[in-house]
Amino acid sequence: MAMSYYTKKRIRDYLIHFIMLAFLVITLFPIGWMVFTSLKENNDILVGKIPFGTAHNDCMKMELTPTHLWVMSSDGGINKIDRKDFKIEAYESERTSSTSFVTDKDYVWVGSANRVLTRVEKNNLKEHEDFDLPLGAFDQAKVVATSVIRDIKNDRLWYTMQYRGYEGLIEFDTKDLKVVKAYDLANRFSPFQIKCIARVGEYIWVGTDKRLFKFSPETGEMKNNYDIAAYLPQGPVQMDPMGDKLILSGMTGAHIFDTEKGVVTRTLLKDRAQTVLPAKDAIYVGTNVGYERFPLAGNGVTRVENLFFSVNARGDIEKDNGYVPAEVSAMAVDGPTVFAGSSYGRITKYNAALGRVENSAEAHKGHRVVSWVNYVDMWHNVDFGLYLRNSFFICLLSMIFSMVFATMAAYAISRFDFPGNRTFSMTILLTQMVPYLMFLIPIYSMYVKFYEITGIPLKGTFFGIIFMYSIFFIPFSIWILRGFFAAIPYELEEAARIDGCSPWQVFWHIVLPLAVPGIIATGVYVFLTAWDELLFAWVLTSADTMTIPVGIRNFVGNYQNRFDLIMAASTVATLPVMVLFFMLQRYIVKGLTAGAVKG
Amino acid sequence: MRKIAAAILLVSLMFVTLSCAPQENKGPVTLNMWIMPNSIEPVRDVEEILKKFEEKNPDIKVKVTSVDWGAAWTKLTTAATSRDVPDIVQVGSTWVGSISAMGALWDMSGKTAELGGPEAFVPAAWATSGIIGSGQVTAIPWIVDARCLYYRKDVFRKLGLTEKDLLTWDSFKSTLKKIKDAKLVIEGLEIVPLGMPGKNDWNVVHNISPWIWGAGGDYFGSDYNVSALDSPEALEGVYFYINLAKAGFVPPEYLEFNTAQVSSNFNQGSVAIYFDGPYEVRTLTTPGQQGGAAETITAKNYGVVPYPKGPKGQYTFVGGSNLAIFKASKNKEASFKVVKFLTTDKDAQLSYSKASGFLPAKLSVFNDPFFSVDPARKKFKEAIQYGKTYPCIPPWGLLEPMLTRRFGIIWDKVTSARGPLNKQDIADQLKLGKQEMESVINQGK
Amino acid sequence: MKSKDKALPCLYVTKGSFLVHLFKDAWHRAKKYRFAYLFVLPTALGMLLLHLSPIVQGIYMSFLRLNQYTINQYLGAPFVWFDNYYNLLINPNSPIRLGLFEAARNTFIYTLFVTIGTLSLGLLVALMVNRQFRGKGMIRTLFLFPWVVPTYVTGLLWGFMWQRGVGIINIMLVDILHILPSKPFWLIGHNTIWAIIIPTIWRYWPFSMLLLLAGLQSIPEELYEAADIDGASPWRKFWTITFPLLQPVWAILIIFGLIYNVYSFNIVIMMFGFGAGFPGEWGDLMMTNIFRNSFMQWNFGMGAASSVILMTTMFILVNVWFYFFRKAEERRS
Repeated sequence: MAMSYYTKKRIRDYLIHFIMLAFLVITLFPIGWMVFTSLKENNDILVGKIPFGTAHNDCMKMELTPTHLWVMSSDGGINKIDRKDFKIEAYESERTSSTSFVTDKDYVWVGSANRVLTRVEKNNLKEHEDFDLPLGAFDQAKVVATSVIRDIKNDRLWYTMQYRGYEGLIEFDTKDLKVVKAYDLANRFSPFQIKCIARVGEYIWVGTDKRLFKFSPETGEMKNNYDIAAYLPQGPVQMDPMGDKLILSGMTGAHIFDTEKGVVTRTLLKDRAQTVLPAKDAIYVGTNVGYERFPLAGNGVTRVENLFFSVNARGDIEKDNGYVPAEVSAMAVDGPTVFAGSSYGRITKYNAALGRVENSAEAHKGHRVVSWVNYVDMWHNVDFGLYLRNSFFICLLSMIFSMVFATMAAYAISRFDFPGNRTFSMTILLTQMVPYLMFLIPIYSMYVKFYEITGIPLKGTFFGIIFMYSIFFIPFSIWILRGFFAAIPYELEEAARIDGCSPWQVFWHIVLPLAVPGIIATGVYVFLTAWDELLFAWVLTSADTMTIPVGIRNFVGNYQNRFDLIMAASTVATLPVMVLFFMLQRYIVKGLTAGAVKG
Repeated sequence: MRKIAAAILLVSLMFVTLSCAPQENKGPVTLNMWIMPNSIEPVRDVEEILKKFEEKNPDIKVKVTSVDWGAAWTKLTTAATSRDVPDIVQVGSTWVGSISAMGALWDMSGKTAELGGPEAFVPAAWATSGIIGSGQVTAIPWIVDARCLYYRKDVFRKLGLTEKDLLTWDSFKSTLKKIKDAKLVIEGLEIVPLGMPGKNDWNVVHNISPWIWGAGGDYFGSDYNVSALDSPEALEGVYFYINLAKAGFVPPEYLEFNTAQVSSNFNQGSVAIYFDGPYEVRTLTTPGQQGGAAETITAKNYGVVPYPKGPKGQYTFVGGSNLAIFKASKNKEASFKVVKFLTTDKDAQLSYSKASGFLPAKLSVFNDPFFSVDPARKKFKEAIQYGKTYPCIPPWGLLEPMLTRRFGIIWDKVTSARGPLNKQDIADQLKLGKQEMESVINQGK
Repeated sequence: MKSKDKALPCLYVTKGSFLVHLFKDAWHRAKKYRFAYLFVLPTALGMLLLHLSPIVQGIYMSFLRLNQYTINQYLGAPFVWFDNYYNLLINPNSPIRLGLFEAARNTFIYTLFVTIGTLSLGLLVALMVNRQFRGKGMIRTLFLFPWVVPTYVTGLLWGFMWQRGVGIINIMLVDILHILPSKPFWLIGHNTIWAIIIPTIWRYWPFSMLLLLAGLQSIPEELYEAADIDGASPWRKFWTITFPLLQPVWAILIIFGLIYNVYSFNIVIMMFGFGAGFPGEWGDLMMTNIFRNSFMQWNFGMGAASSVILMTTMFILVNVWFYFFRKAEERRS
């Protein structure tokens, strides 16, 4: 089949176009991948999961009504499960982080780091309202937990959170929907972190990583403090009131604390307690492998394990499919029926009288998470703003200085055959051939010597590094700029000179304006190279003058396994120069091509 | 245009002159302190502890800077060549010999009594306080590191294994085999028997040492001039360790990981057995929001036991970091006060141990319930008893990167060689390693 | 152009005895070129301070036994003549010698492949972009993006993508496209050299493309039209017109590539343990080797000696380049 010349040409053209676009995609892929990864959760990155991950839906709280089981999960999910057929009847996710729940007759109150306090109507889960509390500025990503407790007597809510640097307590009126008062708990044991709160009688008990405090809301004062390090060296994770007792539970056990005497009177467990449920007839403690039931008084414990099975997508139990971790993180009890919830949203209905699992279900999957928070987190972890500012400042000034001097020198050597011109030009080329590592120690020691002699510090100052960069980028800039000056017709200068212009005037009025595109291009090139420089900045800058590459290097050394943050940091280091390049690309393309090709 | 250019120049010149104006110390002394990132918020943690000190000593202020391990090596070197140094510096215990040999550190041997004498410190840590036989004390132990074995209780329970199956090298190996054969999948993750990093890591030498020692080998022979790396015992140890990877207990991709990555994988729940220091306990008991992994499946199911016992005894690596004062510092006495506070104050030691996860260097601090309530921490308290460290000699700092490289080449054999591991290959490499060690040692003469 | 400024000095020939003539001439010239000297002075001073003096110190250092025992004496360390060079090049018992050989071999392979890679890729894409189509400027800009990514980010990013188990490259090659039967190691063993070559090409080829594109655009259209009339195939047109006329561009690119790649540091250091560990027998380059010798082994004398050796080699190479390039230039004119 004969094809006309033009058909062939068009096909070839399309083919080339396609290949080009495919190539463009491949070329840009790594950059896209960097940005994409920076928005993922680290755990998903580590196991090689490609799409964005979902929020954890670990069971946090369970509540029983005669007909329904309410299961609240850590992503702010509220599941209303029918007790009979064990299927989710209603579900709504509040998309919260560091969530805590407390319920009353009509509402579910959700405490969280990102939405602070939310009220959700039980009858219509879509109906929710957010309240802002006076917490001050904080980094959401670092809030470990929030604690909300309810005070039945006078319709109050108490809110606090475990966040390094926060030592407060907020009283909220659920009738008027207003903050009553914010208390500052700071005392002589500060700094501490508030892990949980509980109300017994007139007092609010505040569990911290240092002490257990007794706080009186009436006077707004700390009444007492108790050392429980011998039981829970890292503080209680959960505290549940039981009469005038308090059950403290945490990483190293669960203990009953007598609030009158201020001592631990009974130790229930010496392993990690996931949750505690003081019921009418017994105390239930969720452990890593199941739950343990303790009588209210006296000894004897019932251990129950193997509560969970995998549930497949249709909600059917898969009994033989591998092994399922079985810690119990939320419980509800109704006579012999025990409802237990685990991480990954597993829920089971266990009949303690018969000793068998009656039904299983899974809480609703968490929502997809795009972790913008990585950027916030990274920004809080290291002083990236400072590095960015430093880098901009240093690179900009280095660029200006080196361009000023390089332009002058390049003009001189391309236009005047002064004695030493050749030597000078050769030296410039020669310096490009020296491994720059070789300069490091001598320059460092010269800087130090200079400080010893004159008292003017160079190392660790902006001046020192800018000076070094300015000089360092001059040879290369001269090399490129020479080409530009050579490309400017000499006749122009000659004409000007005949008109009586001084050499300076010739340079300033005739040559320089013509060389501007080249100077901009070279300048941007110098800027990019300075932005890229790691080794000298590493040694010659101090904590206050650190540039982005050094910051990233330190950051990476610090957080070797936090790929999410590393990629976020990389993106932040790349974007500014990319934007700069995009804005100036016209000049760069024109300038660099003109200069380098002709040089 | 001329005006704009002139303005830019002027402004930039102003900036430069402003930024290079010499800083003068008025009033109280400000000490510069370099630390390594020992905890998640390194500077803040140390500053919080120093607050108490600064209240008591209002005339001393400490400016803490965090330098990561890689950069520290470079920075210390360049600093050692000059008199422009920080006052106090954290020195890895294995670096003490080298940096002391440079003559850059201040001898504090006259002041040991003030610190409570050598008996007050963990013996293995105090052994790194100065060059062996020099009588000098150049770096006071601050935090201590020891290695233990972490295992997943749920995996062991499922397979009917117990802690006792980790007692000796042989039972350790058969345990690994059982885990490998079981091919468990937990929460969608395949369980890997053993997680250990290969060669892209700081810990290459520390990871391999307990196995060399356990087999009866050592790095040095009769004295510190002779390398014993080519001894059959050392070969046995290295072979046993490397072979764990070759036998398939360690998935190949782990060999390109560094410790942090392996530790993440262990935390996330895909590794059954893993060796690490006390800071891993801290990670597993610290919430994710504060850089830990307390919510993970591993955190809910882990146990700690000592290293398996080798044919020639039980060993683990004990390291850590010391605090040193530069000789060129202008505020040596004030710096010593800070060092004394950080290394001997009970609260300072305990709080920092809690924050960093490292063990305290001061022995009496171990009496705190913090180390006895948690069974995992108890194991580390024991580990410092049988732990061993490298001799504090001048060339050690040079030998470590050299050994890292040599062991790295041995690691390459695991991935490149087909079929079983050739013992002779390793023996050859160790022989080369011995040569290199001796040439480095002789370089100092 | 250049010949014109050579004409200038002949204007100032004066009369008189030879010596006076010489002196006067020099004086006149100095005076005449006051302006030029003024312009060169700051640069010359700066370079004297921060380039020449460190080079001299560095060369001097290469004759010293400057290691951890003598580092505090700095330039006062014992002078050992060519000991460092002997240990680097000849002494069979020296551990550093072997490492240096590996690093040199890798640097050679690395430079060769990166230079060829950036040039050919750059040329290929430049040819593809050098057509008339909509959005040409945009596409050219997009192609240039990798060149703006800082090298330390390049190292980090590719190190992340090269991971064996969860790296996207292996996932692509094996799990999605099924090109390879099993996941290869990229960061361990022989493949390491590719793991550093490919990112470097990725980072630098856009620059080659940019310059080559400019070169292509400066080739007069008439040449191609004439060739079309002769019925030349595209292949022939490329080899007889495009390639030779682009010579000045690729000559410049070769020298750029030589300097950049031989002194490549950031990518490798960020890809392998962030300065920890050892990049491996096939990943170690000259710069990382010197860095390790100097700052990790604290053997600055050796480090300086290898720097000097490297510098000399580079000097010879650049001279060779000059020789060829000059020759070509002369032939053309």
